[in-house]
Amino acid sequence: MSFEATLSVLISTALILIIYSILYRENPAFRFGEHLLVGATVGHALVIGVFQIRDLAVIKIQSGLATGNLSDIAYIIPIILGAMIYLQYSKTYRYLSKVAIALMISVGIALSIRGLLFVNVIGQIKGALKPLTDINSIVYLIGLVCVLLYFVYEKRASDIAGPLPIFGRYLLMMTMGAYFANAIMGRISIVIGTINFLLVAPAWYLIPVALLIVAADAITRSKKNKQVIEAE
Amino acid sequence: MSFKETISRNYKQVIYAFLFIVVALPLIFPLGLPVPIDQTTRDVYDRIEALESGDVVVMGCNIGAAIYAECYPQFVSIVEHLLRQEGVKILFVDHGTEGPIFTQKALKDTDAYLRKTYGVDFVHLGYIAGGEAAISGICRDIHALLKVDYTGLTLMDLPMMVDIENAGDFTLVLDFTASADSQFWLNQAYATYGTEIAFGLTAVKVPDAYAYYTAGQIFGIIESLKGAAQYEVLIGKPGMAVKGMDAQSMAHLYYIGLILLCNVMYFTGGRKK
Repeated sequence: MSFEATLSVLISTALILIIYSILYRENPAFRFGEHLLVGATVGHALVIGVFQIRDLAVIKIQSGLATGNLSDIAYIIPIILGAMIYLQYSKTYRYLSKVAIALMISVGIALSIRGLLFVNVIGQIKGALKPLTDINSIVYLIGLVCVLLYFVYEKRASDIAGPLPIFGRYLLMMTMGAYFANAIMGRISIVIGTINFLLVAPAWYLIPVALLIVAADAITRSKKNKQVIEAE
Repeated sequence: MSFKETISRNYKQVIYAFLFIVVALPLIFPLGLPVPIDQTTRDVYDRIEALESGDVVVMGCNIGAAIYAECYPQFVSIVEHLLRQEGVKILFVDHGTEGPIFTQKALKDTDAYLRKTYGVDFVHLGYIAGGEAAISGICRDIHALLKVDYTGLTLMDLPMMVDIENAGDFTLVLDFTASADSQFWLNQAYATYGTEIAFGLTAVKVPDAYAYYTAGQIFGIIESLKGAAQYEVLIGKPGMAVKGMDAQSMAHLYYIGLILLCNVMYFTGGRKK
């Protein structure tokens, strides 16, 4: 491994261990790592954002100015609208930022509404009304009906439905259990990925160093606590 | 302070320390537990196996440092599998700011630049800002949205891009993410052009995606590290994910043990009325 690669791995490892130090206790090193992470992420996003303006708009405007193509020159409009969002910081011209935000939201809704209806409403209804040819489809349909009944608040309908809404509630609880179990699995996967990285040389060389620092801190704190108790 | 008192006062640190040991040991000494293949993963594998020469696969990437451990092994396995398919064109699109880093890493890790020709077999468009609007733009007319690729090369100069205009030219879209943006592909590519879609997701997002899978709107799901391990087994290239599955199983057993232990302690001594 080259010197640069080794240095890069050691810096990454040190930062991982600094972030994980919060599991021991709150400390200045963790806060440094936390701020560094936020700063690096924002810095990276900012640079990428600037390149985006160049690639998606500036290049097109330049090409439009060269060829006289109005549709390319029109990319100046989104740049102006984007700049208008920053008028949020001006007391006098704040209202202008709302124009840009309103346009952004309305375009977003207009773009997604058709697909959302097709996928989340029509597609899901079609999916639920599949022929009952296998056990999965039958269980799916029963589950769907029971859960929907749980959300029917009309008393007469609930009386007719009998125990089905309660069954629907249990199904909902099972679904939430599945969500939570998946969340745990996801977190464990992140831990595995990180530890996998830490266990490869030269990364693992820093683990004993970190443990020694933690042990030294624990001993120092323990002694201090004893002194405080004795003084009292 | 007695040992028991020290442990009970610092129980969180003890739990974390044991978790580290439980996860690290199987990574150092693999147990070789079997990795059963889920149907959701097999569906993705089978569909990629069935690709024909000239088919275009879009690889959507919103992988960041936070989900690297879960989604990158999926992503790199799929890239490897796609590179093995003769004549299949791959179009990499990043819709997260950190996406380009991991796409480039996957291309490097699979030796894509040595095995295939850039611009002929695969193209990396880079990050495109705008969320659903950007994906809508890609699906409607890539050339109207973008003039250059990730490295700054003009798209029309890349042979592969000459025939690809909109989502109607995409055979498959495989999206790797932890957020709701996988929905964007469904809204823009599947709903409008009927493009076949599959997801590589973090575990938290998987239950949401099952609704689309059972309704037949997506043809497969790679589920977290587990799905990545299954895919590594299917393509015959065990890697980081397969290695991690032993640790995953041990960590789950550890958690179950902790839940049982806490309940036993609660009912036998610590229960307060």
